[in-house]
Amino acid sequence: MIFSRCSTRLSTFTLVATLLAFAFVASTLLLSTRAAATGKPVVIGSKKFTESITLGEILKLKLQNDRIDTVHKAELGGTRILWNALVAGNIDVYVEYSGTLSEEILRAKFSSIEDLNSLLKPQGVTALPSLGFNNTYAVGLLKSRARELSLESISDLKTHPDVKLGFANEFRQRQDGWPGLKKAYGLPQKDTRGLDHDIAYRALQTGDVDLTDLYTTDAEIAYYDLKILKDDRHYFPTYDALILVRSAAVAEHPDLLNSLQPLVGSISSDEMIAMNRDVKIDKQTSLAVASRFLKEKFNFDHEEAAPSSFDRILDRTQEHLFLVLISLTAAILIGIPLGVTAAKYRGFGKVILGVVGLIQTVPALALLVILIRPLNSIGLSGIGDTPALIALFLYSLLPIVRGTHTGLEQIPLHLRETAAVLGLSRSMQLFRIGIPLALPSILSGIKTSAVLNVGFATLGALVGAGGYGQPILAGIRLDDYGLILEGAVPAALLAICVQIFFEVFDDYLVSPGLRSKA
Amino acid sequence: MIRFEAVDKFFNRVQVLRDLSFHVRSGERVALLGLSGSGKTTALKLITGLHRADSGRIFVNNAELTSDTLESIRSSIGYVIQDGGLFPHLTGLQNLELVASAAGWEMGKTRARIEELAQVTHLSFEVLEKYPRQLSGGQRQRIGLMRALLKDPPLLLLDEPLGALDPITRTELQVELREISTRLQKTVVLVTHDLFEAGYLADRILLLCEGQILQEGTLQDLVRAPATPFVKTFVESQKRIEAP
Repeated sequence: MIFSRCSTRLSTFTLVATLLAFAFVASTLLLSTRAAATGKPVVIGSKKFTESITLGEILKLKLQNDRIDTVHKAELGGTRILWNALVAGNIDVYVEYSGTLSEEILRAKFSSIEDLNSLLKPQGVTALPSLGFNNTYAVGLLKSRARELSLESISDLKTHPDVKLGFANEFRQRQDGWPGLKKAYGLPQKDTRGLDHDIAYRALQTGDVDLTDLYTTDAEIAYYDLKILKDDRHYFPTYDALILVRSAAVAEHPDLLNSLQPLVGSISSDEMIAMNRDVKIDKQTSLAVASRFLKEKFNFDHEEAAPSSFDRILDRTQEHLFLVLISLTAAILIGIPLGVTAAKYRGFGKVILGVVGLIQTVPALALLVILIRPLNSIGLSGIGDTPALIALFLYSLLPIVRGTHTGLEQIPLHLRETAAVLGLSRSMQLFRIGIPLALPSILSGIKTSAVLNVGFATLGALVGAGGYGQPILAGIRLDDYGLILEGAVPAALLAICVQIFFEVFDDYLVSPGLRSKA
Repeated sequence: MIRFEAVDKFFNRVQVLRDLSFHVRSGERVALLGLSGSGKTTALKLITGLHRADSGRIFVNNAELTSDTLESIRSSIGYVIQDGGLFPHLTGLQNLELVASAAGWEMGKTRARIEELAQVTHLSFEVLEKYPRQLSGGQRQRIGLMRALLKDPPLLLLDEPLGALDPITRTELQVELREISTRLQKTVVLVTHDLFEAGYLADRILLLCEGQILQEGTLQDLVRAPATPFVKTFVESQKRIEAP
């Protein structure tokens, strides 16, 4: 006669043990990723386009050459994110354009670098003089299409109300972008399409879009044989590239300005266009291009070698797993109790399910930007792992909370009543009856969450948390399908692995008594 | 053992029990008989504390049923529902062990008690090691009964315990139930809609209709002298169905 080994207790125990193992693996990953961080390095930020990233690499290599500990958080996003991160102290240095400062950030004109610095001073920011080139906005189209429509200048657009406009989202909304341009020239076009800057070039070729916004240092202008329309009313301001430095960082690293100063006036427009071409058209890495520039200009003695694609994928995998494991573990640990609470108190339960559902409707990009301010106000970084983890955690909650809630609600009334009359304590009713009976539903919630999480985690790259999203973003930016696949394929494989893992987990945890077949 | 004093119970403003009073003596076996909606199951659930009376008082074991006495009263109750009410994620054995561990029993004591009860209900350990869905209706009900008897409570509450069974198993279990309740000298309250099951298993029948007792007595009393036309109809209809 064999007495059972109390498998209910076992399954709840196993669940908890597995979660703890999850958390352990995740925190080990965390430590190994963070072990390198000794002291407080200078953090360089860059926007989500090639030129900004290459400039970020140049700054990084220059500082490192001068023995200043530096990290480069590449491709953080748009102007808002970078500027807010700088003011909040999440990053210390980034390259901004004078026109963006006057039209978008400060909303005030300035005529000299001294003028600008007096405007920046209250924000705790210092600007260095121009790096040497002006990357202003322009609008352009394929030369062939320009001939067809006989367009020469922006004024000519007035007589072509049907021209299809596709603009980068930032240009489409900025005061110094399309709204201002339309007003200044009195243009009749009403509909504009918002596109990613890099996708816009392809849309020009396919004819989906006639006209798009350009940066004058874009390598694509020559590559795609584009015609820049003459700004005959001199609407677009000057966009000189300037290094912005957080004043407090200068105090922490006294050599910072001395190291950066030589870069002032060192990059001509042609040199910048050439570097952009090397990265975007010739598919060299920003790091390699930056390194060669410094070797030629400043006689640096070595060139940086780009890491092998295997190392890259390994790094990305580690970053991605880190994001998924931590956020999913947190979502499980918080989501199950929330679901239990929701099932227990009906009124409050509706509130919980409502709020958790509402979070799901907030677009990821918006959520990441919204998080910056509150994170800063409690002294945390608004970029990097923290916001990515929080966003992923929030998105992962809904399926888990709902799965737990539904699972508990579906337990037949007569079983709940029997448990009470048999004298089981409240905690026994929950842990020995409620949770085990709801387990299939809870696990299916976790499974859904995990698979979604693996996909969502690619968005971590938007705030510099790395992961498989990094090559995807870079691939879109560089029109490089190989790079896109380098992120997309492992992400898909990981999602499949996670799915399989939880299928096995299911069989192991759910009581055989609850399966439909013996 | 059990006393109801002028108990009223409403569900969403519908009155299901009206001024209900009755008494069950210790060691007595009483059936609450009636059609569905007569309030018989509600009356039983009031004894378990799963529902609360809106007015009136209920005494179990000489103690008034309140939130303070609920726990001790429940410990004196064995509760069996239709189809056994076993927890489907646990084997029969685990269902039994769960109740024992809730009562803080040691393994040795649990083991001895389960062996004892397995003999009473004629169940083998092979059967006990199965999950409820792998068992027959009769086996489930026997294990449900074992679970109710595990802590040897003086009071046994049976809510349509044989409702889901085929006629042969049902008759078999009726015989066993009667034997067990006589042998173990339990106070039994049985809820059923079956006149003859009530007559066979209980010493006294309370016939309920719309939350009130229409007639009280033995099976013979109900058959020979129905108190109201409804009782007569009720008895007649069951006679027809049960006639050979």
